[in-house]
Amino acid sequence: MEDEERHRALRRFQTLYDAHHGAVVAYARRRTTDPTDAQDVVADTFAIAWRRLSEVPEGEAALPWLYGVARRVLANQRRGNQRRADLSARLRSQAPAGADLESHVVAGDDRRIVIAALSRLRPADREILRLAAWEELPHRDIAAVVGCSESSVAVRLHRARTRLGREIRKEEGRVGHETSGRRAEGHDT
Amino acid sequence: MIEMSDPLERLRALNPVPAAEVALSTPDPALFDRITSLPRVPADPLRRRRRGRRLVPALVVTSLLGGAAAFGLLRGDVSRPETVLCFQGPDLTADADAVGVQADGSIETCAGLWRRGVFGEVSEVPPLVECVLPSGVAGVFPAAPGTDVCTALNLVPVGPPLPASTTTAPSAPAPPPPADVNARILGFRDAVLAQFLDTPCMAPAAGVDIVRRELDRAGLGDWTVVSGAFSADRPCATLSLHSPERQVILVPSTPRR
Repeated sequence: MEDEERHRALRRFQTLYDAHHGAVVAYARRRTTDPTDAQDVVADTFAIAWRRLSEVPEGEAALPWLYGVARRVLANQRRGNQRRADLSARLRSQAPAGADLESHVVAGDDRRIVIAALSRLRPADREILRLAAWEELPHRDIAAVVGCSESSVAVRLHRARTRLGREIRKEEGRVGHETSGRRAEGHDT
Repeated sequence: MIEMSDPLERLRALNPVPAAEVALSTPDPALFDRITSLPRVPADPLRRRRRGRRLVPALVVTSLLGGAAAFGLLRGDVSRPETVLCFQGPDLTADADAVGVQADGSIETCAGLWRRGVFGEVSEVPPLVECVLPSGVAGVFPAAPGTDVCTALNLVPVGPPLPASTTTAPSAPAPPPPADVNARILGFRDAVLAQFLDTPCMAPAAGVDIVRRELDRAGLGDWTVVSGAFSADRPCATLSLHSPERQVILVPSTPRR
């Protein structure tokens, strides 16, 4: 009887794992800079799913549930990383480096502008925008991940999008100002 | 055509892992085997209604996956712990924060978090009690006077329970302090850890023998030893303690370097 139950659980978990492993890996990689951190998030997320298999919703609702778990695992990991960074910074008398992907991305101007603007939003706004833009989740699934109602997601996403637009414009203004400043000093001729 | 003045579309264009890459990803069979060798939690209908960050389950899993190395980090006498989990509510699934213990002890360390507003605005720090968590580290919970949070959560208390409020009726005689049980669990933990950390790869059969012997020696003969599914790529036993279930789990792991 116990064997049969375990067999059923294994079969269900195998289906879950095969279907969503890639999506959870991508979710973790989109939010971390260190591949080891991403692997840890994936391992902890699926370990929690295995241990609480009876709580994992069936069908399409399973992936938002996994994202919700991964989000909490990531938050715990960040708190640990931040504490270590704070301690390390105190020991070295330097400001701690941000652990977010946003603070590490340095590339083309547009990328830098958008990522810099994103990093200035509140964490909840950032996450809702990333879930919409990167995971391409509909409002219903975003609501399941962040734990609020679908109508609240629509409002929050609209506001977050507006705030992002505002921050992008500020950042573009800043970049334009710096560029013209450099030109005036003769560095860009 | 994409409207690139839309901030969401501009963000979408910067996706670090595009959807096409996700489709090409292949599941890792070794991780699957490692996870499914872990014990599962029986269904709990209440859990669906609970919310919060659930730090504790994540930590338990991490200690299981991290094996002896993670376990080694958590060792130390619980009466003078190195790490403490400060909980926001009298519940193992409540929000919690793991912090290093200050010189004035676990309870005062967590009281500091409450005073700094980590758990929200409070007019005063609630009474706090300290218990031994399933992972072996100390947990500090808020508790109403006269309540026994540790026992309610099936945990071993550290120190005496809070005194009952003077406005309540005299309560029944308190149960004998479980200090000796606490001491026995800690003694057992230190004894087995010393032997497990002595070797880079503890063979499962030898691990069971050591755990059984030390359980008996510590007067914990009613505890059970559960062995995970060992394999050629995970041949070494590491430890995980689950005091509410009175269980020691031998978790399959790779050799320590």
